[in-house]
This record gives sequence, C-alpha cells and structure tokens, in this order.
Amino acid sequence: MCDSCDCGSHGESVIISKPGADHKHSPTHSRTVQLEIDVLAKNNEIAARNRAFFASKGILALNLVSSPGSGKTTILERTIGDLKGQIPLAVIEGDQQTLRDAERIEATGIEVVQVNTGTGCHLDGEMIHRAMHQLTLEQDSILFIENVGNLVCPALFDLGEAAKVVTISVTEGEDKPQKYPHMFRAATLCLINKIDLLPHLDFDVAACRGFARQVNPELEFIEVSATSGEGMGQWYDWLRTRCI
Amino acid sequence: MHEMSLAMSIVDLVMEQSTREGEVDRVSEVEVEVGNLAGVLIDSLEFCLEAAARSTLLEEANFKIIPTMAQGECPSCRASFEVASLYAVCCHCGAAGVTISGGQELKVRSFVIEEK
Ligand SMILES: Nc1nc2c(ncn2[C@@H]2O[C@H](COP(=O)(O)OP(=O)(O)OP(=O)(O)O)[C@@H](O)[C@H]2O)c(=O)[nH]1
Ligand SMILES: [Mg+2]
Ligand SMILES: [Zn+2]
Ligand SMILES: [Zn+2]
Ligand SMILES: [Zn+2]
Repeated sequence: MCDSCDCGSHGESVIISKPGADHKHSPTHSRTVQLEIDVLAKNNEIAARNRAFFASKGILALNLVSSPGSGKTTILERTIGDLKGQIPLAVIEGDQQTLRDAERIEATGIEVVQVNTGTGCHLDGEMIHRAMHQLTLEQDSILFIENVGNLVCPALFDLGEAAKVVTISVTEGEDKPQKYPHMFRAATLCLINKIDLLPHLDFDVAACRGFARQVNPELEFIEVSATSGEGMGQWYDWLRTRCI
Repeated sequence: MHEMSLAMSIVDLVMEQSTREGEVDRVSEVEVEVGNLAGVLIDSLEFCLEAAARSTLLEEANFKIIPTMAQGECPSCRASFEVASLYAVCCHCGAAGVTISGGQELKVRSFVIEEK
C-alpha cells in the first residue's frame, strides 16, 4: 500500500476521487446507488443451499485444506481403504490441472469427481454444486472435498461444508499457523501429518499447536501418519462421532 | 490469487444491480469496503478490478477502496484499540487473547451510474 511506511491506516490517503459532480463536460447525469452487499454474498448463498442439501440427506461434507503436498490425497486413500464398506464415501477433488488425484481416489473404488479450477486457486460453492450433480450421494455418507493446495483463499470461500479440516505436515514449519492465521481460525480440526518423519526433523509439535490455538482456542488436533497408519484410528473416531 | 475472482464478483455484482437502474450509460465509480483482516491485498485487488472491468459498463469506473480496521478489546485491562493481525496483543498491557471484532468486511458499499 505504502512504500515508505508500515502504518496500517494509510490507505485513505491514496484514494483518488473523481466525484460525479465534476463531470461538467459529460452529457450524462450521475446518480449514486447504495448497495452494501457482501462481495461473497452470492457464494455464501450457494454454499448455504449446498449445506441444506447435505443436511437433508445426512451427508457429512468436509472441506480438506492444506499447503500443496501436506498429504491430503494420501490421507484420503488410507481413510477410504480402512472405512470402505462401513460408511458410504464420496470424494470431490479440486486441483488447478490434471486428473491425477481423482485417478488415485478412483483406484480405491469409490466415486470421485475432479474439479479443475484452471488458474483459480480455490474451490467455490458453485463448483461444488455442479460436482454434486455428478455424484450419487448416499444417505448418511461422508463427502470429502479436497480443496486446491493453498492456505489463503479457501478460507474465504464457503462450500457448504460441515467443517474445514486443515492438514499441516511436520516437514513444514511449525509457524504455519502464524503465517496463515485465517485458515487455522476457520478450521475445526487440524491433522498433523507425516509424524513418521518426526525422528528425523526438529518440528516442534507443541509449538505448532500453541500457535494455532492462539488464533483458534477451540481447534482440535490429531497427529497422524498417512503412510504408516499411526493415529489414523483417532481420525476415524472423529469422523464417526460427526457422522451421526 | 483470489483477488481476481473477488474482482470479477464485484464487477458482476455491480453489472447485475445496474441493469435494474434503467438507462445506464456507464458506471463511473464503485466504492468497495475492505477490512484489514479480510485476507485481501488491496493493491492486488485494485489491479484485478481494472482487468475485470475491461469491456464492461465499469470500464472507466474509478474504484474507491475504503479500508476499515479491526477493533480489539483487551481481556485484562479492557483497553480497546485497532488491531492489524489475528495475533494482536494488547498495546497497553501486552496481554494476549484480545477479542477481535470487524476487519473482515468485503463489500460493495455503493456505485455511481451515469444516466443518459
Ligand atoms: N513420510 C510420509 N510421507 C507422506 C505422508 N503422507 C503423504 N506423504 C507424501 O507426501 C507427498 C504428497 O502427498 P499428497 O497426498 O499428494 O499431498 P496433497 O496434500 O494431496 O498434495 P496436493 O493435492 O498437491 O496439494 C507424497 O509423496 C506422499 O507420499 C506421511 O504420512 N508420511
Ligand atoms: Mg492432493
Ligand atoms: Zn483462490
Ligand atoms: Zn443443483
Ligand atoms: Zn491490556
């Protein structure tokens, strides 16, 4: 905003106005229309419709977010392998390009739809609405929505989910919650993944939890390894208690 | 980043509303309120708005971005002050756990139409 100072309220000084009354040469007549509409109102409306649909069918929809590569798809693969046959499951995969993650899920034998956002860096309510139409969503099922790997804008765009689950892997910095506080504030559960690698790293789990709790005192944590399976039982228990 | 999709939403929203206003020649101004904790980069939003407005009624519009600040209240000394981050501590006594309100706004306040 300002190159020479950090002051947060500097914005006002850079407003360059051209009030309508100054348009002396304009043959038109200006009129101000008051609006006061939230820019995200349309998305929020669609998300609310998705949410009502999920509620009517007893579907638990979860919005899975993380930085690229924290292990969302691997967690899903393992979860599906362990829960298939016990709870009906479906997946919506969000990526900018490629069908790769959807193909990985397809290989587990459950229904999946890929949403490619192109240059878009997040899923939105309408994309989920459209994807839902491609799925046979069963009564009392779980719908996992893997968002685009990005901790910034998925925090802004409601999809109609029951909860956001944020994954951080121990190969990232434990200060991630400080760098992306909006997402950690918006999340209900934080999965700390790749704990099989902890012996080789100096990731401070307690510090990471502490940073996240500062912005979200209610945030729950489960430590898991999607590759070894450690801690996954706790995640399944979390899912089961949410399902009913 | 998401500023582009927000900019497109803003342009769409104003276009949609302006069609209800009769014979509109063009939109000359749009006032957008952006909270300092809304997760939006104002510079980037301004840039994207210009791009999103191209070849629309808003092509020549002046986008006025009005920044608003989140307010914090200290849990221990009760002071209230403007906060610049979700990690704010009290600027009077240093206490953590500041209660934050506002700062998340992202809305179109008004726009100005030029009528024929
Ligand atoms: N050691 C270890 N590696 C893991 C674990 N979980 C995932 N990985 C590895 O991390 C890499 C990325 O995993 P993905 O599941 O593709 O991550 P993602 O979050 O889906 O990535 P994007 O969709 O690109 O954002 C892969 O090489 C995985 O094998 C884990 O628990 N331990
Ligand atoms: Mg993935
Ligand atoms: Zn985005
Ligand atoms: Zn529909
Ligand atoms: Zn204080």
